[in-house]
Amino acid sequence: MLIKTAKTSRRFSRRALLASMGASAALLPLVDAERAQAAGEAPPKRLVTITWGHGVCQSAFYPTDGGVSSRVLAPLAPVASKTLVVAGLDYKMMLEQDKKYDGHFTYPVIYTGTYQNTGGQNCTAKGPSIDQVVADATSKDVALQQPLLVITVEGESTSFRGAGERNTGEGEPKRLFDKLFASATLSPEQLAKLRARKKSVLDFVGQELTGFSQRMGTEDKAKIDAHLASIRQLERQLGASGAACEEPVVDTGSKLFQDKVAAMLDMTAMALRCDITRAVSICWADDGGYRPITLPWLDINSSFHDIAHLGASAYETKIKADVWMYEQVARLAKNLDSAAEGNGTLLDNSVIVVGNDMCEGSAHYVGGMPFVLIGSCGGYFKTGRTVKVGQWANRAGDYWTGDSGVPHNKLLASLANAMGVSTDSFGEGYAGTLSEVKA
Amino acid sequence: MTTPPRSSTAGSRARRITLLGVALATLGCDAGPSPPPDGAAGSGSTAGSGPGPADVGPRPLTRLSRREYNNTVRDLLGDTTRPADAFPEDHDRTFAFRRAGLVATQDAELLGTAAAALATAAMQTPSKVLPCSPSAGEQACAEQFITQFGQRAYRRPLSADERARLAALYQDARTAQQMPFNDAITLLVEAMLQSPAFLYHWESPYEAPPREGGAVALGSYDLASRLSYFIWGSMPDQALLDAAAAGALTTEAGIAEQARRLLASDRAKDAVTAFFREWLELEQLPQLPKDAATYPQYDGGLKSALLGETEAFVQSVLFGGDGKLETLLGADYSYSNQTLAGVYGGVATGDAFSRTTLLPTERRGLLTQPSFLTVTGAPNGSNPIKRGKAVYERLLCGELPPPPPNVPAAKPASAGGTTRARFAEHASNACAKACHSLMDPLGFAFENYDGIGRYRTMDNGQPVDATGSVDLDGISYPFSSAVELVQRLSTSDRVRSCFATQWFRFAMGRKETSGDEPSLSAIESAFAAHQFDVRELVPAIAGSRSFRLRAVAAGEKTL
Repeated sequence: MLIKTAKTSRRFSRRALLASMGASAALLPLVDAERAQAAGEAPPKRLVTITWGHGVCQSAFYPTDGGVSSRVLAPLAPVASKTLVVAGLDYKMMLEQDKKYDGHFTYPVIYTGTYQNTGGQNCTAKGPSIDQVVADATSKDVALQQPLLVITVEGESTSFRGAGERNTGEGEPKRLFDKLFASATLSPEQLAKLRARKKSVLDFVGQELTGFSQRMGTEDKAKIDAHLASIRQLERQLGASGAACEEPVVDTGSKLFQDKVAAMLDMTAMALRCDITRAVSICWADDGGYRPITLPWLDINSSFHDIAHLGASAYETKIKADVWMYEQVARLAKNLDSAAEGNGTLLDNSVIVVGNDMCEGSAHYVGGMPFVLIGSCGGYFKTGRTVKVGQWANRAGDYWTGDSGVPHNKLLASLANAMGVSTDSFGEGYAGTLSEVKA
Repeated sequence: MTTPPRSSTAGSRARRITLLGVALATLGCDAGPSPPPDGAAGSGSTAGSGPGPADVGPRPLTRLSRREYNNTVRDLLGDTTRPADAFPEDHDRTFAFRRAGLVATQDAELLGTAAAALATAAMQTPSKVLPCSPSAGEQACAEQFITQFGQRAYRRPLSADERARLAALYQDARTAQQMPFNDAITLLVEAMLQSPAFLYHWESPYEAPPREGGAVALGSYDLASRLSYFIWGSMPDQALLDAAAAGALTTEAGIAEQARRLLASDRAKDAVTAFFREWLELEQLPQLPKDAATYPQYDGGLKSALLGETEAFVQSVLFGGDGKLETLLGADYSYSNQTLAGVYGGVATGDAFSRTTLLPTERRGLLTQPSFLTVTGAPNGSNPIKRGKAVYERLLCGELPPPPPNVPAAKPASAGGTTRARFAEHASNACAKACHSLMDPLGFAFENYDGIGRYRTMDNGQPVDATGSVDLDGISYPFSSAVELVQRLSTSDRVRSCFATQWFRFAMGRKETSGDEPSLSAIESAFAAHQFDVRELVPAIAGSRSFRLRAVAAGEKTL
């Protein structure tokens, strides 16, 4: 990244992208209508969720002194005072439905606070994830170019629009770059024509979908309704005004996993700086063994999933992998922390939530989950510490197994409130917020 | 190993899962609930547990997979750029074969991008899509285009509503948007390629479908599409549309005849090889990582050679050989090229595949091909559990319970001992034992092959032990190697029944239900009557009631 602050004046180099694609370009250019922040107005809040799987080596992960330093969390040291470790939350509805060891199947649960079994160990969500809820609430105030940004480097996304409707993530750095930052020089007339053209196609597809499902059964109609909702979302985004932005310097050509993660995180940071988006969901690893990743640049040549399965006998390798993953989280956090905003930094007005699919890699257990928050979200969270919830509060060093008794829904409800979505509960079944994390 | 339930007849099919569940429960392992009969994402309510009055299965809505999309635009527009390769991978945990998921915002955006590029490219040569010249009258030509190109894009005649909406879009393009004629046609193509009639496998929504007893009979054009996507993975050709128009597809014999015609065509090779790629999970190969220190030769070239061998083999059996299941699983030959010589130790030269005779003590058939052994291998070695699981689920149609908690993983090779010894120790855990007994003996049979399928007699400095026994069709068969195991499998009733069921799932895009029993029974009988020739299995599926009819869906409205 060559960017110093969000206010640097180097403007987008307007790329002649549309010219090369012909008149039917699917990408709309950014409108050069900067949403200048009015003096005295509070900066917006942003939410980023980052997820990978296979649990943590608890002895190396959890800080023991009430602070936030540990072997695995060491990369977060530069933002330690802005970090909050929340230890012990349970995916409680899964525990209560006797899905205690379905840790490889929790991606739909982590940010929705809901669980719907779909046969065997498979499941889906019953409602929207926190990133979607935040994006929807934001959309009522401001038409962002990308109200919700969903990214998946590997694995399926943790983001859900609603029951059974997973938001597909963007996995190609080059395509994401074009979507977020590509622009072109178009006259207002040309722009209006392009918009009208795209609108006419979306209108047509919407009408077709409506007619198409008219005599379908309930479940099939729901699939078409989901498609229709996607078309409506694209229609809304047609009316969005993109902010003027600098072009991040990223390598979007590499096929290597580690380069893709870095590119995605740097583009996320710039999209947040430019107010292209305020809600981001990122996932970079499969939650099971379907698409194994190896980490050869760390000399880890068996699959991350298999290493986690080995439990204590491969903890050193697992720790090495997780430290690298937290280095990536730190890359985003430090980037956001380098952008001055209001009386602090962009990170201070944001919260990055790091979630995991299980408590520990060989146990697959879904009680006692590791959550890490970075950024106080405008002072909502009291950071620089570890909070042990429920029954975990009385444990000294050994976090190894067991439930805390506290549903993670409470953290999701707190996140919603922190982001300005006032609510008493999130997901299904468990009311309340997590008072322990509040400032 | 637990005695697998017999499943050689369709009548025992419904009991298969139950029996397995009981067997596991008595061994102290939580078998968990059986998956719902219909594996379609978020659907399946019509697939009840008892036989429905319709005696056919449901037809959950599906849409074009990436493979089908690429093939369809190739046949519709002559476009071979494979635009769907840019779409997210079709992956559904609940179903073995590839099936496209819901259209989320990102998917809708990518479908729009692809449609725009396809339409622009096609209209570089307007005659590709235009059946007329606008110089004789633009309005008339536009209408003719809507009717004729529309019928190919939607794979059936358009309803009046559909024609009217396209005509309105054309008018908007010409007047409000002030486009020249060709640009307006480009816009129409772009729009049609995003229409649900193009993207989904479904009936005309504007006609009341005929009923046959308690079931819905698929219309002629719908059957034509279903048939061509099953056998070609693409849209119907003109001859099939003509047969549909002539009403020739409404009988079992009529559709079976067209099925044979399609299967005899070169275009069938794509779907047939796709079946084997998906059935044996070979689709994972391009993205599958291996330890470069252990397997330095494992690169893109080897990956495509591994897939190429299996495709060449399958095509030789089904298009040039005897077409039999026994040959697929037990053939004493395969195909090799220069790249594979490093795996086989052979002497083949060049990139082209040539037929090679296998050493009878080392290999036989699909399951000993390096492609399967690589996909089911570990990044740095063999993986008996993964291999056993694949055989148990894909060849025997067994359903495994979820893994139990807190079972320590097998030790790494650095701990010493053969792979088999280390995995056997892992599986000695009391609860794990019940589950592993179902798959491990099958997997140990493949211990003579390393993580990329190379034959070996020593593992970690000690001799390989690939012996075991398998319970098939009520008899326990001992084997000394994978070669002996696959020979047993290749003539097993249970494997034959399972193979027919897998093709049925592939054809229907869903798992079987109790309503499919009569169809599956007839399909298995036809398969047996033709000495288990796959080329007769395919028309039998196409002619079955479950292919030609569907159950009424919950909440379905009549027009």
